Amino acid sequence: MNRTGSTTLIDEQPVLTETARETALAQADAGVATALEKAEWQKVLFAPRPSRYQLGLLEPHWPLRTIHIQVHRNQPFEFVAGLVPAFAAYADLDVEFSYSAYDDALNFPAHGIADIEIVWLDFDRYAKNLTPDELLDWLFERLGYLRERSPARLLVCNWASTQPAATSFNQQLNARLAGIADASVCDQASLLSRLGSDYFDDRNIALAGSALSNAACMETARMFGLTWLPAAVHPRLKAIVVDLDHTLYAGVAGEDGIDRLQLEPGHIELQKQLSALQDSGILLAVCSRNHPRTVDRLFRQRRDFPLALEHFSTVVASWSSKVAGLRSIADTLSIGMDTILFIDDNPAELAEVAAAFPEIHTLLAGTGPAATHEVLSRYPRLHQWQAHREDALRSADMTANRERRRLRDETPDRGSYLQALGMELVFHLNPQQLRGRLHELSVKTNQFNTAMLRLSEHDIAARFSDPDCFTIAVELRDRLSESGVIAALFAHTENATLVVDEICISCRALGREIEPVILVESLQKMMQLAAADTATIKLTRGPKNAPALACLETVFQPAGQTGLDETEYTCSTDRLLNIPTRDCVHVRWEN
Amino acid sequence: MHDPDIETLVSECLSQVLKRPIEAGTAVAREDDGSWDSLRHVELVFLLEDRAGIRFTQEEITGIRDSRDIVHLVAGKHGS
Repeated sequence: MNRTGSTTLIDEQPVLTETARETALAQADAGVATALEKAEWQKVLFAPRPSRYQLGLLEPHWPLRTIHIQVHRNQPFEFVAGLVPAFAAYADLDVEFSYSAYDDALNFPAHGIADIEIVWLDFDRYAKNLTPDELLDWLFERLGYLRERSPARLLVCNWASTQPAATSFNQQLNARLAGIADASVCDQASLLSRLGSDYFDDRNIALAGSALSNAACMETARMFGLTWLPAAVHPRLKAIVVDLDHTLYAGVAGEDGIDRLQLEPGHIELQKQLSALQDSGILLAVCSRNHPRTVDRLFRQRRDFPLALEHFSTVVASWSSKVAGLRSIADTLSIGMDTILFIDDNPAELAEVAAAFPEIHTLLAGTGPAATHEVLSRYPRLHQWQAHREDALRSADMTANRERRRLRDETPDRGSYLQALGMELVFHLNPQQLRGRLHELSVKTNQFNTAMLRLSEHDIAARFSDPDCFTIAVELRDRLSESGVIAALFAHTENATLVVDEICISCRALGREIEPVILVESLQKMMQLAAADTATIKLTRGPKNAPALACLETVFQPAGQTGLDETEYTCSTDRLLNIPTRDCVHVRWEN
Repeated sequence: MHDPDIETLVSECLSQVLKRPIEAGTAVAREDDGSWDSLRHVELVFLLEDRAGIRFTQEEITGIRDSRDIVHLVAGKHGS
């Protein structure tokens, strides 16, 4: 717990110019207005059966990112698309749809650039003439064709049907789609399971060629707007920060007494849900106005809580503001406020936090645990298409950081500390099986990201098939934890020079002086393979990548400014051999 | 539900689906309104069923020609 440091930071805010102050106040006002407006919207968007009319009345007053969606279909999508905007706006997206003709053959005629391609087929139409295997073979031939023509993420809706063939078709669709870069399944079949016979409405077949009921259209739109589309265009959130009193249980720990706190079934479900999110790689933290000893006793005494203190990567319990608490949490976890979801039952707390950090995501837990559970189950940017090994390792790795800090404080000098960690780096050259994780590093790293190219899986797959390109993934482990793949390097050769397009290192791995080792080892390998005697690395300055800049400045020679925010560094093979690196990391190559 | 309430409800639903303001009691006919196509018709039916808490039969859905038909249908279902 690091409360004092955060408080000092608040007091030491630099004096703002008048313009900067006005801008900051306007941003703070906008942050508060957005947080409170979104809290109001929760009642409509997350209702068990959202009202079409209420949805139509919602008008967002916060900035939205416009995305263009191309729908390839053999049945109407308009009944769904008409309901998507309000849900998508909650996820800060403005959606524009365009449609193919009704085309059973999926001809994919030329169309404009899209951010997302949706394949929306009524598979029942093929069932008379094709076996499920034939249908899959045909579908994948067409998806491969679309993949070649569009770099956008493909979202393929599966077969929502009670026909037995649909089950095996959907299983094979999942397995085979994993082989296509940036392609994911939208699970319509699970909506059918949830709604049962309410999914279909035969009255509209003759009139509009659709068998989807009002409820099916609504649930599909809700999944697209809140879950599938945000997951396709935004990186996943990194942490959930929760309040305690009246959020994880009913009552006030410091006043009612720990034994008298009520754990209702809804609280149990909510805590289990948070635990499951942690298992999937989301970090958990507590920010509570309580005495630290009370919080400590609370989790030790209440063994009936599904959540234990160990689930939380950091706990801030204090009487100072939640703004200070959240700043401390973000510092401890080394993550940006824009990657945090803050849950609190008090709108005033949400407003205060949103005023300080307009970019933070907020959820009002005001209407009880069951409602909070419902919102959280669909909250934008928590869904993940594909689980990575690192998701399961992340929380334990953050917990190990506490132990690393203790070890660092107790060890007499830095060299001994790093030696004591027993670090090992494992390098992989062109590891196609790690495509998803490499994409994640490119889109999610900010502090150590040299170019912010935000490479898609499709981009990375193209690099694997280009003989002039090199891609390296680096795994880290030490005696305290496995960190998984924590670095990615993308490069290509150009006129006997190795051009490094992007270097990304996870913030979890920073602070252990492994960055120069990663750079030197990777560059040596790639320059050797490319027969290049020089490497160039371009750094694009971003709002947060000062650590990358500092590292490159230390390790390489700046060749000069190539643009307002760009600097190019060069390095020869001779120079590479003379770059000092810590002799406390064991290095090995796989493949 | 009284007829004026139903007229208001129907005009609100028509306004939302046809994306233009329509005052209560104004007559709107499918054949005169180019934007009232079969897709919008289904959307309108879903919206009316949602708001009025009723369900139309397939014959009723295909039989709706204008706003007055809707008012009569909704009134009939609320009266029955």
